[in-house]
Parts: sequence; C-alpha cells; structure tokens
Amino acid sequence: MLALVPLRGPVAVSPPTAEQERALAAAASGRATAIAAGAGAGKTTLLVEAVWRDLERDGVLLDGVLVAAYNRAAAAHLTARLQARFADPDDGRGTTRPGLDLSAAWVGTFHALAARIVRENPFLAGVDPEFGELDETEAAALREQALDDAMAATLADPGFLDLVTDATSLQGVRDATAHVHERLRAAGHERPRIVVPEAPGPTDGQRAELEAAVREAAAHPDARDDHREQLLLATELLLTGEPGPKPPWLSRNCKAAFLPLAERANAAAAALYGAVLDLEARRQLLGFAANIEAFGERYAELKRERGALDFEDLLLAARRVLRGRHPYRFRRVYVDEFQDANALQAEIVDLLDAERTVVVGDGCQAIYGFRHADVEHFMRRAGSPPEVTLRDNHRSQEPLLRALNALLGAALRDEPAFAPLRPAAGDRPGPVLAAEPLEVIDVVSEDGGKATREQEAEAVADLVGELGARGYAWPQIAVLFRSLTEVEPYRAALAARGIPAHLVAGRGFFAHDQVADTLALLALVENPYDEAALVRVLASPYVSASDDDLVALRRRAGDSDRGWPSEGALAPAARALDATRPALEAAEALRPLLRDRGLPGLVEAAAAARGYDLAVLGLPDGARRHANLRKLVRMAADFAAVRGPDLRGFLAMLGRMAEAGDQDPGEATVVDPDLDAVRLATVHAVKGHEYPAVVLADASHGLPGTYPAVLTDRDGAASIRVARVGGDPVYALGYGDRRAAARAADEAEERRITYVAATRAERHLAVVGRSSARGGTAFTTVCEALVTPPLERRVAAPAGPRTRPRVEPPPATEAAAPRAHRPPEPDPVAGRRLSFTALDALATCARRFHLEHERGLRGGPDAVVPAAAAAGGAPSAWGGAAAGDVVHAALAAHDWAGPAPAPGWAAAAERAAGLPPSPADRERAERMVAALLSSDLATRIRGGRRRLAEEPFAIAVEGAVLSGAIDLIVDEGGGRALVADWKTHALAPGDSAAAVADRYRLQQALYGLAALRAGWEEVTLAWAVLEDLPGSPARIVGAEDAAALEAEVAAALAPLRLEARPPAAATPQPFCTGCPGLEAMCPVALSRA
Amino acid sequence: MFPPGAILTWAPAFSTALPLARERWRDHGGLLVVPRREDAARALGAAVADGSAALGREAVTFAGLRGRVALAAGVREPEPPSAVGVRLALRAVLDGADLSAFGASAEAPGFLAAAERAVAELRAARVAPARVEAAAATPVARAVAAIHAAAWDAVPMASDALWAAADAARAVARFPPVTVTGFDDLVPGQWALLHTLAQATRVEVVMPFDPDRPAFHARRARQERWAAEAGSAGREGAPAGAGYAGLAARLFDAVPPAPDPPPVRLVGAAGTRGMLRAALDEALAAVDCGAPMGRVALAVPRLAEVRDDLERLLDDWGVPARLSSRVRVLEAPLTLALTHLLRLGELDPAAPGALDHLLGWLRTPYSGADPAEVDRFEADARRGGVATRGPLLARWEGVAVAPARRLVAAAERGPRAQLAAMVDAGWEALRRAGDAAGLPRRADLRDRAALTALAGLAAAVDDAGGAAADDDAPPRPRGPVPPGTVGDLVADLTFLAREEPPGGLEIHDLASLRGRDYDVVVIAGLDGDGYPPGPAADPLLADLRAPLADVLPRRAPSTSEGRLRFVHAVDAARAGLVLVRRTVDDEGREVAPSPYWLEACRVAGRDPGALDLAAGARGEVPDAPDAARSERDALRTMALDGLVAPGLLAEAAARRSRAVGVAADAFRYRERLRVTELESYLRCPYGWFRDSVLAPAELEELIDPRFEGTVAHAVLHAVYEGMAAAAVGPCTEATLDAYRGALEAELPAVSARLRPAGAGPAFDALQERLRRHLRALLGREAALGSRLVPTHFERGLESATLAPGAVVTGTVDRLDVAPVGGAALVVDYKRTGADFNPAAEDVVRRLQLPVYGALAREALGTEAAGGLYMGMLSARITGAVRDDVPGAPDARRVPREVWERITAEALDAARQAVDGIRAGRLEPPEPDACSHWCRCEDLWR
Ligand code: SF4
Repeated sequence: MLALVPLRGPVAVSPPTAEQERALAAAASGRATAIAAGAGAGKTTLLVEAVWRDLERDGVLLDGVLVAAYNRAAAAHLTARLQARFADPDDGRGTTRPGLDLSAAWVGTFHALAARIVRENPFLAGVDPEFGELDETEAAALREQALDDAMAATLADPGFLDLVTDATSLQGVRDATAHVHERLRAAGHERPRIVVPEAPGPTDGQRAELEAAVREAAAHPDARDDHREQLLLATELLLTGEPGPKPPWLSRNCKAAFLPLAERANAAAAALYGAVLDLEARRQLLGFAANIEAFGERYAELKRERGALDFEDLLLAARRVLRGRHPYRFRRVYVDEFQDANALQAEIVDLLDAERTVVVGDGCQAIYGFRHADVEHFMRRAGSPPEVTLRDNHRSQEPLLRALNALLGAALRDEPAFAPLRPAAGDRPGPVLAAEPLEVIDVVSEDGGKATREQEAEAVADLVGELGARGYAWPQIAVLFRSLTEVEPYRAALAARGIPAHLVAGRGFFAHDQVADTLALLALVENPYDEAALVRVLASPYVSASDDDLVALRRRAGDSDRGWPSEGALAPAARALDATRPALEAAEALRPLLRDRGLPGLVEAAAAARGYDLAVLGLPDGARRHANLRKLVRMAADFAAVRGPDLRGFLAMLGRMAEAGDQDPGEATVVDPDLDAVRLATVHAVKGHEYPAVVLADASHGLPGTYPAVLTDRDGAASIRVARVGGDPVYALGYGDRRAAARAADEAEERRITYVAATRAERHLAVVGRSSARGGTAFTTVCEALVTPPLERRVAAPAGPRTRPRVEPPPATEAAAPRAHRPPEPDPVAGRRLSFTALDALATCARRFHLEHERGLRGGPDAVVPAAAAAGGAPSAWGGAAAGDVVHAALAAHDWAGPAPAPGWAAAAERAAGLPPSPADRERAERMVAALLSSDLATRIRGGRRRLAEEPFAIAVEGAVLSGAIDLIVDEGGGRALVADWKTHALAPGDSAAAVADRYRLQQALYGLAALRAGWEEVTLAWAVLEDLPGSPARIVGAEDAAALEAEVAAALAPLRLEARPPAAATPQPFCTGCPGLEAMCPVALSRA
Repeated sequence: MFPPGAILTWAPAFSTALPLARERWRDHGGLLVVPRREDAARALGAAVADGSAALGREAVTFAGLRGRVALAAGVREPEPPSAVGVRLALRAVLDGADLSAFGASAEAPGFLAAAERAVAELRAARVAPARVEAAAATPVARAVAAIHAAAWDAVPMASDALWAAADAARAVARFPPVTVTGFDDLVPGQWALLHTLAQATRVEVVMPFDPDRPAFHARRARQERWAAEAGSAGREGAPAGAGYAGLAARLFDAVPPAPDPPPVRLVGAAGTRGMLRAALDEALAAVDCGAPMGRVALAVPRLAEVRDDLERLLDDWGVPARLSSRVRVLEAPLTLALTHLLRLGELDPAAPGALDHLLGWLRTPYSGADPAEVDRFEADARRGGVATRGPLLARWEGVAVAPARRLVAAAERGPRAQLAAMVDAGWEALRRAGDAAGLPRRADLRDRAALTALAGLAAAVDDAGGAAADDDAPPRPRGPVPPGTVGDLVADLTFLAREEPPGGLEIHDLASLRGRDYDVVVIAGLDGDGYPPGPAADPLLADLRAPLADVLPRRAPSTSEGRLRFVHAVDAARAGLVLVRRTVDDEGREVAPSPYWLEACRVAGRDPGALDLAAGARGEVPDAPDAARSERDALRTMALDGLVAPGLLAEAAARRSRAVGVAADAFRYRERLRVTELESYLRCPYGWFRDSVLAPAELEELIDPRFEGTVAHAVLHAVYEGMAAAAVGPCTEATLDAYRGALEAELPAVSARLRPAGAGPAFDALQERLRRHLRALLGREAALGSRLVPTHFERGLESATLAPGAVVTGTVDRLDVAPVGGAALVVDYKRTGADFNPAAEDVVRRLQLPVYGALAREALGTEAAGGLYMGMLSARITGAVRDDVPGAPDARRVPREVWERITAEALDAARQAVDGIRAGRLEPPEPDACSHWCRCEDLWR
C-alpha cells in the first residue's frame, strides 16, 4: 500500500528505467541539475542509483556525498534502500559492499544535516558548544514564556500599547508576533526585524478639502439627521486627527441635489482618514516591531540559558558556518523534494558549493507554503519548461492516469509546473478497474438548500462502502482531507455503516474530553480553589457526580441572597460531601508526585487516578482516547525538560496553545500498519504514499478566511490590519495587497494539494464536495474543469435534528478480575557482594546500610555526633582509624622471620601517611606492635609453615558473595591454621579484651568459615586486642562447626530480606557518625534539627 | 616469573576475552581489574560458586587498584577533586584566558563544560602543555593549548589520581599479580599505571581487538602503540564460530551471512514508550522462560533520554532493575526549588513574575509552608487580585522572601559563597521536607546527591571507578538555570544516579553493555538514522587529534566506535538476542529500521521486514489481559475489550457516563432569579446551570477580560454619576468635552483604587486602553444625540409579580430619563457590546433591556422608553428607543408598538425560563445556540 515501506517486507531496489537513466546522465554531466519529477516517477530509485554510482563508480568517499531528504522517515528509507543496494550480491548490477555502514553518511533531513554541521563547528556558528536541540513542544514552552515576558515589557511602547489596546484580542497580537518572527527566520533573518513603511501623514490640502466639504454639506437644506451624524464624525476626525472606527460616510441614498456634496465629503473624508490611519498604523507597526524584537531577544535569552537551539536556529547557525571558511568539500549534494525548501534551505544548498548538486522536486507538489516553503527556489533552478524531467508515472493505472491528466490539466492550467504524466505502471493486480476510474461527486441537499457536512459525510461513507463491495480491502482505501478539523461526521458516518476507519493524525487535541478532564484534575492538583476545574472533574468520569449531586454541592456552599454565590466556597463544600469529596482527595493524593515523579509522572498518574484511564478505554474509540492521554504525558515531559516541573506554567502554556488555534498539537495516533481499516488522513500526511483507491473528501473546503494582523514579505517589509474600536479592522500600509498576494498563493497551494491528493491513487479516485456550500474553491475549479468524466450529483436526505450528542458507553461484559503476569521477585540476598565492613554495617544499623551500601550515599562533613569523639581512651591527634591503619600496615609489611622493626619506625609511617605529628600516637603504635611481636601469639605465628598477611578472601553464603581481607593467616601444618585479627582499640576502664573480641563474633564466624572452606580442618581464631594481649581469647573451630558458622553469617544477612530498613536509633548515637542519615533520611536527622 | 612489561592479549571478542582473563586470574591469583563494582562482584561470585573460598584473589575496579597501589607504596591516596572545585578553578583560568578564538560561543553557559572536557582529556593523556602548544596550528587549537597550560597546575582533575597512582607504583616492590579485563579501551593513565606496575608484578590486559576487522578501526592507533610498549603482545583465542559471537564476528565485514545463525527475534513497536514496553516485555519473557533476571540485559539508545519513561514503567510493572546514568544537578527537585528561590530574590517580590517564583518555591515541601495556606494565598492573589498582593506577600517574608534575599546577597562574596549558601539552604530544606520515617525515595536520593555535588563532595556520591559518563549522546537542552555565575557553574553539573537492587534486570546503553555477558540481550531502539550514536563531535580538540593521534583517540561520527559497540552488544548474548525498533514514532509517522538492524538481519539471514512481533497496535494497551505485565495493564486491556470485573474496573465503567437532569424541585430553593441568568438559561440550560448555579470561581490571570470589564464599569459609573451630580445633562455634542474631561479625571482615580499590586505595565496598558475606548464611546454617545438624562446608576430592581413563583431581579447599569414625560431608557454596559436588532427573530432571547424596563416601571413607576447596549470597548451602541419618547436619539428609534411587542415577548420568555427553572428542566444544548464561551460541555457529556 505504501510506497516507502521496507518495514514490512524485504527492501527491494529496482534498476533504473530508461527515463531515469537519461536523468542520471544529465545529472552526471552538469554542476547543478534540477530534475522535475512528477508524481510516482520513482525519485527514490533515482537517488539511490545516483549515490551508488558515485560511491562505486566514481570513487567518491562516503563522507563526500550529502543527501537531504524531506523528513526523517524519508531519510531513513533512503538509507535503508542504499544499504540494500550495496548489500545485494545477486542483482547483477555491479560490485557490492555488504556491511557498508551508512550510519556515518550525510543522509538526513535538512535539520539533521544542519545539526551535524553546527555540532562539528560550534565556534564558527557562534553557538553553545554543548547545545541541545529543542523539539516542538520544548520550543513552544520557551516561546510562550518569551511571549509573556516580551508583551509585558513592550507594553511600555506607546505604539504597541495602541496596537494592543485597539485590538479586541491579545491572543491575536501574540499569534502575529510569533508568526512573523518565524516567517522571517525561515527566510533567513538572523534577528528578525520588520521594516515599517513611512507614512507622510495628512496634508493641509486634505484637511482643507474636508473642512470645506463638511461646511458645504452641513449648510445644505437636504442634509438629513443621519448625514449630520456622519458630518459630526468628520468634524471629530478633523479636530482630533484620530481615525475613528471607520471613515465618515454620507449615505448616497439622498436627494439628487445633495448627492454631489455627499460624494465630495465622502472622498475628502476617505483621503484624510486614510492618511491619519496610515500614521496610526505606522505607530502601531513600530510598536509591533519593538515587540518582535523584544520577543526575539527574550526567546534567544531563554534558549541561551538552556543551551538550546530550535529548528530555525540550526539552519541559521549552519548557514553561518557555511558562509565562512568551512571544512566541508562535498563532491555530491542531492536534495529531494526541493519544491518544499524555504529561502534559508535553498541558500544552504548553494553555500555547500558541491562539485555536483542535484535537486529533485515537483512544482505541482509544493504544499508547505504554510511552513514558509517557497516553490520559486525550485522553479528557478528547474527552468521553464524544465530541462530534465521524469514524467513516467509508475503508480496509477493507465485509464485512471488519463482521466487524471485531463482533470488536473484543467484544474492546474495556471500552474507553470504542471505537465501531463505518462503511464508506466503496467498492469498491476487488484480489483477490477471501474469504467470511470475517476469520479467527481457534488453532494446536494434534497431540500435544495446548502448541503451540510453531515450530508457529505454520508455520501463519502456510501462511496467507501461501494468501493469495498467492488473488492477493495479497507486498508486499500484512503479518505483524504485538506485538514482534519471537521473529520468527526465522516468517522461517524463510516462507523454507522460498520466500516472500520483509522484516523492517521487528527486535530483538535485540546477539544477532547479526556485531555480537558485530565488538565482539570491537574489544575485541582495545583490549587483546589480552582472551582472551574473542580466542576469539570466532578462531571467527568473521575467522579461522575450527577446533576443532583452538583446542586447539592451548590447548596452546601451556599447561595447568597443577592443571587451571586460567594467565590471560593465550592471547594470547601466539596470536601464536605461524599459525592464530591473524591475529586479533592484524588488531587491531594497526586500532589506529592510532582516532586517524586516529576511533571510527566504526575500527569501520568493523574490520567490513571480513580480508574479514569479505564473509564476512557471503555468508551467508543477507547484506544485513541487513551493515546491522547499518553500524548499529554509526552508533552509534559517535553515541557519539563526546559521549564522544570512547573505545573502552573504547563497548564498555562496548554491553555494558550488551545486558544491560539494554530498550535494544536494534533490528536495522538494509535498505529497499526496491519489494521484492517480505511485510512483517514490529511493530504500532507500521505505525501510519498500511494493507495489503490483514494477518496478526496471535503473538497469544497474553503481557505482560511483570516490572516495575521501583520503581514510581511520575505524581507520583513510589513503592513498591518488596524483594529478599530467599534468598527471593522481597516487595512493600512499596503495590507490589502499583501493579503491578496497571500491569498493567491494559498489558492495556488490549494490546487497543488488537490494534485498531490489525486496522484496518490493507483486505480480509483473520487473527489467529493459540496458546490452549494462554498464557491471559489479548488472543488469548484475541478467541477468547472470537468469535461470527462461527467460531474455526478448525489442528493442527500436533509440532516436530522441537532442536539449536542453525548458519548454513549457501549455495554460491558462481566469477567473475572485479572491477574497480572508479574516477574518473580529476585532473592534480595543472592547475587550480592558484601564486604565484612558492609556486613557489620548491616548488623549495626540496617538503615545506614541501605543508605551507604544500597544507595551509594556518604555522610557529609556535618555528619558527626560530637559524643563519639570522646568515647574510649585518650583523644588521638591522628584521629579516627589512623592508628589502626598505621599498625595494620606495619604488621602487614612485617617479616615474621626477621627482626622487629627498629624503634622510631612510626615516624616514617606518620610522614608517609600524611598524618599530623603526634608523639603520643607514635608511641602508642610502636608500643602495640612491640607488644604483639614479643607475645606468645607471635611465637606461635613464627612457628607456622606459611604466613599470609592481609589475605583477601571471598566465600558464598546463601548466594551472596562475602569478602574481606584477613590480617594474618598462618598455615600451621596438619590441616591446622591460625587466623589472627589485630584490634587496636583503646580499652576504656571496665572494658576488657574478651569483651572487645566478643563484639567481633560475626567477623570470627566469617573468617573462620572462609578458612575452613579454603581447606583447613581446624582453625584457631585469635582476635588480638593489642592493648591486652594476655587477656585476648582464642577460639578454635573445626569442620563440624562450619554449619553453625554459616548459620551465624546467614543470620546477619537476614535484614536484607526485610521490606524496610529500620534505623537503629531515634536520636544521635556514636555509631551514627559519618552516616548520611544524620543529615536527612533518618528520624535522627529530625531530632537533630 | 613474569616478563617485564605488561602483557597485552588481544582476543577476537569479549566472549573470548572474559573467560580467558578469568582463567588467568584463577591461575595466577591476585587482582582482577574490571570496569565496575558489579563486574567485580560477579567475577568473585563465579569464583566461589562451587562452595569454595577464594583466597588471595580479589576483584576490583581501577579505583580499588589505585587504593591498593597507594597502600603498597605507603602513600596516601589523593582525594579526587570535586566537580564543583574543578569548575571553580577552571572558571578562574578561563576568566584570565583569551577566548576570542571561540567567538560568541565562549559566552555560552555550556562553554565551561566543553572546556572542562577538553582539558580533562588532555590531562588524562598527560600531554605536556609544550607538546600541545607545538601541535596547535589553528586559533582554536592555540587557545585550547593556552587554557591547558594555564590549567596544568591550577585546575585539579579526576585523572590526576590515576597518574599519581602510576607515579606511586614506581615505589612498589611487591604486588599481587594483576589481570585486567572487561575493557575494550583504556585511558592513558590506566595504561600508565599498569605499565608501571608491570615492573613489580605480572600484569596482563586481556582485551577484544582484531586489527583486521573494520569494526575495530577506531582502536587501532592506540592498540598498536600499547603493543609496542608492552612486554609482550599477541592474539589469543580462536575466532568465534557459532552462536551470537559468531554473528557478531560477521557484522560489518564483507562476509556472507552466518551459515547456521542462532535465532534473532525481531520486534517492532509503535512510539518510543511502546518500544520501551515491548523491549521490557521481551526481557521479562526471557525471565519467564527461566533466565535469572540479573542475566537479562536491556540496552536502550540513550539512557538519559528514556530514563524517566523507563523508570515509571519499571515502577508500574514492579520490575527491579539496575540502571545508572548521569543526572543533571539542576534536575533534582530541590535544586529546581532553590532556583525559584534565587530568581525570587532577584526580583522585587511585588513585580510581575515574582508570584510564579514565589509559588514555585512555596509549593515544594522544602519551603515548609502549609500547602493549604499556599492554596488559599494563591487563590486570593490570583482571584481577587485587587490591591491585595502587597500585604498577602508579607505573609511569606520569613519562609521565602528573606531566605531568597539571603541567597542573592551571598553572591557578593563570590560564587563559592553563594554555592555554600545554596547548600546550607538546601540541607535545611531537606531536613524540613524529610520523611525520615520511611526509606528514601528517588526524589530524596536525587536531592541529596545534587546537594552533595553542589557542596563539592562529588567523590562521596560518585565512584571514580564506576560508570563513565555516557558522553556519546548529544547534549539535551537544559531546564531552568539559576541566574548569574552560579548558574553557569552548575548548569551542566551532573551526578551519577544509580538504582541497584540485587538480581534486578540490567539496563544499559551500548557503552555500558561492553565487557559483559548475559543470557539474553534485548537491544531496543534500532531505528531512525543514528543508532547506536557515535561519539559526540568534540570541537575544542578537533584540530589537535591528528597531530596528537598517539594519545588522543579519534572522535568523529565517521569512526567505527558505534559499530564496535553494536558488535560487542551482539557478542554479549549467550542464549538469546532480541532486536526491537519503532515502526512509527510518537506522532504515528513511519520510522525506518536503522542500518544496524539491517546489518544484523543480513548476517543472521533474516528478512529485515519480517517481524516476529509487531506490538503497540492498541497504543499502550496489551493485546490480551494475560499478556499484561501489571494489574493495571490487564485492567486496561479488559476495559478496551469491553469487559468489566469487580473492583476498580467496575467502578470506572460505572463512571463512564453520568446521570443528567435534576429532580423537579432541585432549583426551587432559588427564589430570586436574575434577568441575566434567565437569558442564559434560554440560550443553554446547561450553560446556565454551570455559570449561574454552580458559578465556579476561576483562578484567573491577574488582568483578564472580566477584570477589564469591572474597571470599565466602575469608571463609567463614576463619570456619569459625577456628571449627574453636576447637572451637566446627557452626553451630547455640547457636553462631550465635559464628559471627556470627567473621564480623564475619573479613570486615574478609579484605576488607582483598583490597581492590583505588582500589576506592572500591563495595567498601564489596560488603563490606556480604557481611556481610548471610553473616549470613543462618549463620542459615539454624543453623536447619537440622545437627550434623555442619566439619572439612576447601578440601580437594583426586582419584581415578585413579573413571573409567578420567583422574584426576578436585576441591577440596571443606568436609567436615562426623558426630559418630558419621565420615560426611562435602560442602558446596559457590555464589554464589547451586544447585538439588538428589533427585527430579528432571536431578539426574544435578549431579555435584559425590555425586562429591566418592566422592572423599572414596577419599582420606579417610570414608563419604559426602550433600551441601549453600550459596548465599552467597542464603542458600539445598539438597542431600540421608542420614537414617541421626547429626546429619543434619531438613530435607534422604533415605533412604540414594536417596543411593546418586544417587551411582551421578552416577558413571556422570562416567564418560560422561570417556569423551566422551577420545574428543574435542563434541556440538552443545541450546538448552534451556545455562545462560544459557553462551557456547557463541562457538564453535558
Ligand atoms: S543516623 Fe544512626 S540510626 Fe540513623 S541511619 Fe544513620 S546510623 Fe542508623
């Protein structure tokens, strides 16, 4: 069905046709070639072949070719096809390079290519070297903020003040600001500025003439009251010099004698009015210019702070790079769909200055004017008539194509790019071709009045049904629209006939109940006093309060005597009633999520609150409704990425987007390429695709009637439509001409859209419209152009009564409660690695263990419990564990077969370890080592066969790996070992070596177990308290103790299986020193605070 | 005995390198050096899995190796510098440097981070400043050389510790054997440390590298240099044959597909989140089939980009998973809140915008403000808005305003002091917000990590030997940044956020997947045009890489780095490989497979278009309840399939539609009904129900149309009342100047009274707007030339008899009385005016003018002269005045009978409305009857 789908089947690359060969030859012979390729002419094949030849035949390196595609999908498809072209060893068309990695090739959209250029050359571009790219919502989030800030600032400008004060809608001024700014940037303006035309102002002659005319008319006996009213306005105009709502105008329906006077007065008033209006318009335009500037600067500033570039920034920055001495020497540049390039993109192509540049396009398919594309760039390059053309159409069956040529030839007779297409599709299998493969249907109402959209929708649905009956599968039929704003009746009509329909990308995102409901709940989360949101939530499936519940709520809140209820009373009342309380409770429950899960997490939770998502899924078209909720989450994520978790800001932005109209992000889509359903889509959405049968619906769709208040040309020259208080807006400073030009361009684009739509069809095309509804549309042009086939009129029954429909939930079937398919919980012990220190920490305080060992936190400098320093013996200048480290290091390095270290050794150790000089600590360390070396234990150690100092070990207990380093293992022979651990504790009065050693039973169990597992059969565990060696106990364990030791160790692991990790204390304890929980995350922190 | 110099062993792939290294470790004992702590745990676990003890064998990261070297050398291990310390020092260097070569980019906030990366890379390779200077041939390269030289002594760098260890290793005489594995590349300091250690012990580096394969081209220069330096270097291990290793060995080589390829599962999904769901589902399916969860890896393109979505999904599905990625300090909830506080401190608290920052702070738990009080405050501030904000703000002096000022004031003592002030405020806030009773939540952890990073204790939260930053993803736009230098300093500061439940699913990007093996590997995101991402372009060093090629590896999109990672990822699978890609993006646009997908399919002999599973046809709703991974998903599936089950689903189903309509006596309690609401009821009963009965108060923007109308009303009231008191008479040509004079006097007086505190220039605009518009309105009125005298203003009227059953009430803006006969003309001010065409059919729905006239007659005994709507902002005057009333304006005259007919019909309609309301009748809305601001759709559904 779709032309660009290597997604669901093998990627095939067909050899070029003779016509394509001619185009390739032309491209190969020139420095700059423009190929005019009609619809279905096989441009992708051409491009793939051209690049393949460059690389394989001309020896161009991969990074010497640049291909710009019109969107990401097209770029990726192109890459896929190129890869296939290189990977296919059997096509007999020359060498292949399987495995050629095209990911490094310069194939992409203009934006992706520009981004790469800028990323490689940020300094030439003058951008943040760490820049990030803004997507659409992110850019909108910053744009809206910049608009707010700019408007607030520019209001100090008198001209802008006038503009805003005279306009009836601030939104209009906002929209115009954003629109003009974007248009000028697309045209290549780095810092958009508008050019404000001079206005000479009224002349004395104009004033004198009006004065005279007024005097003359007022004095005339035939002047009526209404004439006098107008003359009064004229006098006001003369006196104030301010243009009123409209120029004074004396009715010409008057006595003949008075007529010349009225005409003279009207002409004089119009001249003077025009002159003062121009002055006023200029003032306002200057104000507008100031606002554009302020907006541009603020927007740039917000982006700068965030290191962000939007789409236009990327192109502008790439141009800056390319305008300078840049490093790129492309040998080949190819640009697809060049008719949709804007001025900036066209300039970039020129600046690339490749050895050979080939642009491919079709002037008839230029349909992105609304995004500031300009077909002229292509037309200029292609020439008139175009020199290199592809006219073979490989898509439409011949009878259809003949009809299309006739129809489109007439409809596009003023389009210089149009040329008939040559049939080249051959016979493709499919439903039998109709005798008239092209139908044009005008829907008329039975009662002779204007046919309604609903009536047209019925006709379209009938037609689709007929196509189905003729053998077209549903997915083979596409119903195309100019825009999807009014698609609902068509969906309804198809649904009524049981025809499955799939909307490819709808509009009206904000109008969907589920979007509005969720936003209302979020507004309640932000502030429960938002009563408008409260009412919406109450009536929504979140609560589904009945009308009676709502009345009860109002009564509870109190209705004042004056008839106006007091403000802010609903929220407290809602809390008091069972039927309404859930709304506020839901909002309250969601509040903490903003911090815990961020803005998107909050939005996601809001969409699921009280089973809302389930209710929505249970409504007709549930998947689609649900997809809209998902889209809202994505928008929240984008927003938060640049503006943080600012819920109010998010709601405000969406509110403005909803108001602006042209910022509808579009309804979310649920996509299934296999879905057995008719496709409903915009013409823009199916560019590059093809369908066996196409119905172009709503063909009498009119052009948008309104244009922004300020219109500019590409150079920024501006005109304005001045809003007049109490009157219609008035065109000034050439606005009328600019508007007419814009309209003509839109009309031409409208015809091209018809062309694009019509040429999507392979076998059958139907164009459906209502000539009675609107004249002067593309449809009327088509109807007028019709010679063959004849215009068919379908008469529709009058539309039924009009009440706003309610969504009827379909009946539901009872079923058993579901059981989720949960993965098994992994064992919290197995697979862990714990050092003895960690194990000890776990035994001391499970919370601290969690913080340090499971969360990787460390205590900060404030994590000190003062009492701890004083505990046990004299204070140490070395501090903490340093004495132990020094002693351990000395003993680890000690050669047990040699002499004891020379006295004074601790001074060197102190220096090496960078410790503060402390004679007392040095003396103590040396004393402890000396004591050990002269002890019985030392004698026993020296008697061993082999000694392993600081010996690392690891064993597994219950699947956990426990590791550590044993101070000393002595192999005593005969399967016996001595395991020693040095304890450097300062013994407090009343403390004993036995007591200290007892505190290390877990350590003993672990080390003992390790030694037994290492193969010794009897292990002496000597925990040597160096301050009291004679008092230090020894414990002997053997193989028979292994199970008990393991159980002891396993018991220490048990807290890992606890859900929570309870803290060991509620107030600071000595063992809390250094714990991250001290600063927060443990009740101790609160007791400290 | 070992050969002098490190042994460099090249294996064809990780799948060969890892077992080889473990064998060496087992044979020689000593240290196994691996990239991460998890790798160490895994290696040790494997060594003791048989119930033995591993004596004399340790598995460590490079951080551990450094520590052991320091111990063996008897020196103290240098503290790694904090990230903030590095930035402060580098900022000082940059402030003294000539940055003109970087143009405007030097002013950008990201420049500091970029410069830091460049200096760090040069320092990590220990390239002497003189050498960089000699190699620099372009202005940018020369500027980088100068910065590097200036930073040499002034800026501490994390790599210093590695080089210090390499230096210390010279003094080491005895050291256990060292085996290094799990790396496919080493930074120069690591190699230097190993190289030096090799003088004291056996050191062997086992690494995947194949000089003949294009996939390894990015590594060639460095490997060859090491090979030259090493004691011995050689290839070991047979090339992989079958299995995924065999598949990986063919990727990107000009070789035919594998003859007997292992199964590769191809999965397509719709949208990014759909893709994540499908990938996670595949991973869990592997667990269902018996793979231990910790032996299943899910690789995504860019962790930082999908992290949020993934975390929520993992939470929802209750899947424990290990993942670690770098998070911006400014993404932590606490730092975002502090940013608000800083911004607030920079503004006058009464200035526009300050309210948002104030609320931004107050609404967080860190402020300690009572949420209910904040709600009420916001409602007061936004709703009433009038002249109240100043006093309202004073309420937060201690909680917000003063702390904000303190933070800003700290800047005077330099950025370090301001950071310290932020950190102090942060800890205080954290303690306030701390839910100390429970385990820390993700937000708590991030807050704490962010503060620790800000406080310059980055080492405490970051394991230098842990995950390297994923520097391949192009940077993403930042969120809000604090103002000033502090903003620049912390803008790109990150911390390592990790989630590490034991045995959880392993989540990676392709960079972090390197050096590991799994039973099942699921690689997601193989679509579009750039996956896996190649190394990010590095503009500062771009010109230096060629002359310094022996020390700086090439970094450019066209190097083979991306390909190499993909090869490693495929090689990492032992029992299963799943490739997942999007078929369409989030907007439903088609997405093509990535070149890596196509290449993987080629070597596996698979048709790239033939998916084993296409997921996401129903959005994020599973195809069947039993395929769901969470109870909620199962319920969603059932909901979509039209099933209900007891519990939440049944409750939700019951709420899909609501009961409309009220009891007959529901509105009887409303004994007084305003004329305006009767009008509204006639237009749309549900609109009336919402707006007039429920009458919800909105939290509006400060200055909105309604507020504008309020001010305009007040001004007109003051003007006309003043003129009446001065007996000026009606507004005509003759009195226009007096009226306009009064307007000029009253407008500022009324505005001053109603001006919201901190309304800013927007209120000035509003005032000016009103001036112009009301002037025009007066001009219009004068031109109209009515000679009826404005007499009553804001007059309350009511009638109990007009419509039986209710008292009909109203407040008429103005009554103008005819100079003769005393007939009264109703004048109603409308913001933009209202249509009133006596000939139109729907005039009957315009109740106000005729019914007010009737009420006035009853209350004041005045005969009804007609009525006028005056558009305050449109200067549009509409309405009808009986032509028999003396002084009636010429332009709006209608015959007396017409007015009487209109009045009779309006009264009739009013009675109908009263009847309808009293009977509790709520008719469905008609689409075309509602005004565009009617919000009946809030209720009618
Ligand atoms: S502060 Fe003390 S009680 Fe609290 S977690 Fe830390 S060590 Fe345990």
